[in-house]
Amino acid sequence: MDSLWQYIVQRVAATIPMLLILIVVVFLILRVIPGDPARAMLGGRNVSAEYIAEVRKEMGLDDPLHQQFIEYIWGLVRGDFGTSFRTDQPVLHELLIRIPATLELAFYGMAIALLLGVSTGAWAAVRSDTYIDHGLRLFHIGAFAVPLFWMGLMFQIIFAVYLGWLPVGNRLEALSMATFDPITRFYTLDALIKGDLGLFVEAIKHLILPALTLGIIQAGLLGRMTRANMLEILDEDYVKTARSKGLKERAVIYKHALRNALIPILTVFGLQFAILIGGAVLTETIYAWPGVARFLITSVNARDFPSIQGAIVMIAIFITTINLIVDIVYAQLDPRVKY
Amino acid sequence: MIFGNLFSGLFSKLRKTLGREKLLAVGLTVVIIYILITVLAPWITPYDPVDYRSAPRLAPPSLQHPMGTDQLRRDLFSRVISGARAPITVAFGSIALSMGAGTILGLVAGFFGGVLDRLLSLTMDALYSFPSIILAIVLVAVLQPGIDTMILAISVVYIPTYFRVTRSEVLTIREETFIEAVEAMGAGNIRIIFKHIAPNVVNAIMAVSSFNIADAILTEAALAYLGFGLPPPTPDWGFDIQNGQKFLQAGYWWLVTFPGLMIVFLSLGFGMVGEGISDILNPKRKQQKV
Repeated sequence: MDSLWQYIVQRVAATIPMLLILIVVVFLILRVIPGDPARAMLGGRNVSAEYIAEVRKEMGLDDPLHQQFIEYIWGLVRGDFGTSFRTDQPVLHELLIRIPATLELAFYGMAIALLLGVSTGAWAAVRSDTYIDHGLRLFHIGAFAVPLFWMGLMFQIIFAVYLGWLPVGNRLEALSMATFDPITRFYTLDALIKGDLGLFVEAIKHLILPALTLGIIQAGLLGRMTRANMLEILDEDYVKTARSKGLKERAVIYKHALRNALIPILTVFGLQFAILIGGAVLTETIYAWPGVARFLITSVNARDFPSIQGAIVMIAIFITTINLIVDIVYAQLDPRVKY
Repeated sequence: MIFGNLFSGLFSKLRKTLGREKLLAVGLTVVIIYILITVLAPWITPYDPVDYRSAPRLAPPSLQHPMGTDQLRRDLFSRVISGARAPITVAFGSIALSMGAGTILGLVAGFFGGVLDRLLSLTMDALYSFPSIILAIVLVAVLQPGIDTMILAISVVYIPTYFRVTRSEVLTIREETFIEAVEAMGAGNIRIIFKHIAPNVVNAIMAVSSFNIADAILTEAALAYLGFGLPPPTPDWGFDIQNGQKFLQAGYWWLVTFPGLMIVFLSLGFGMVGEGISDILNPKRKQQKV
């Protein structure tokens, strides 16, 4: 067990420089490339040069770059992400109230992706080179060839506007939203904690379209991987052994092949999560989903630099954490990984 | 000369297998049609894509306007045809740029190793793990909008891919005996990298790049859709979808449908090319029978 802890500490230590590099890159993009954040923030407003100078000073933009960076990092360490230009609220607060929305969406999106991707990928491999395989492969390629935002719009127009089966957007109906007192801010979880089944159904209904939009794109990628892994494994000796000792085909496929085909998929889980968060930018915009990704877009449009930076740092923390967890779980599952 | 060597091998392979590889053949056909559309757009479009004069407002598809018209009385067919230019230019431009930068950095890092390699690898890993579209949005937002900005922003996203592919190929190839032989014969580093290692890396890169072009087209469309693309009235599918979205609820379906389908078929085309090339490079993937 000691060595596992050692491995975890080692992985955490390796994560920190990665996070730091992302913070540096974003910091540099926002400080060095644009002309003047103060002027950008004030937009086209007609203000005097003195006023801009004052704002610059207030924002600390006149300090040397390394000093600004050290101050920013020191702030992050203390949990101070700065103050939003737009709302005058601490950026961390703005982020914290939105994180559960994004994570909840990501969770359901990933669940759909796994279900759809793994099942179709495995099926295609088992029926390799038949029409089923060709059809499923086309679905896999097609799933990530369709622009996510376009698919989202199409779903919205078909299922929400024309058929009226599901809501157009947001996390709950306006009325429920106004009276709802969140506990964890994961609305499906909150509804269950409160034992409010109606609210749970309402939250799920609002989740279906955004999660499906996010999930289908991922399903294409996961399906391709599952198929490729399965094809390789179905050719392995231990699968042949399992067959020749008279095991039922179902047992061979599910117990022997699919299980082992899924382990390599875990390694790309972190990457999948990153793609999911990227997709959330579009999904949250289309479905008016009040999450971190939508907050980022609104902040970019308002040139709200502290919020942009904060949102990106937060997303970077998410992703490095997920990667860390994946590494550790993988080491546990695959006995070949030594730690 | 070097480039001749690099590509001739792959192209002869392509020609031979095009008959067998239907996926690749279909994909290539689609891509070529789109490139022709882009080049010939001024002669194909029946109306000026940005000019609004005689056409009716928000007219459904008809013989005169096969894809209908938009709220500014512009012919949608003309806009959709001219709209191919931006995504295709951005996709090819950005992939070329990232391929160049990523490959060179990967060759250098893989060949020389050491601190430089470690620093580059760490940076690339960090960028690679980050959602690409978010990186592109921030870059486009802080720079002036335009084709160059889009190419630059999207190319940054794919540099890590080429870096990683190249670096790992270099690390494998470096250990081969023929490199040792060339080194023993006194060849310089630059010569070894470009003359002996780079050609071996090309195969790996070709398969990756067609998937990346498909992805770059989607990223460009997404940026344009979110309003970070080219300034209007330049025709661009993503932007036209954003424009048409407002009228979707009122039943004007054509504004969103046609530009969307154009994106779907183009990125599908590149996706099929990528699948086809992967099948050729890795025949096991396809031929394996249960």
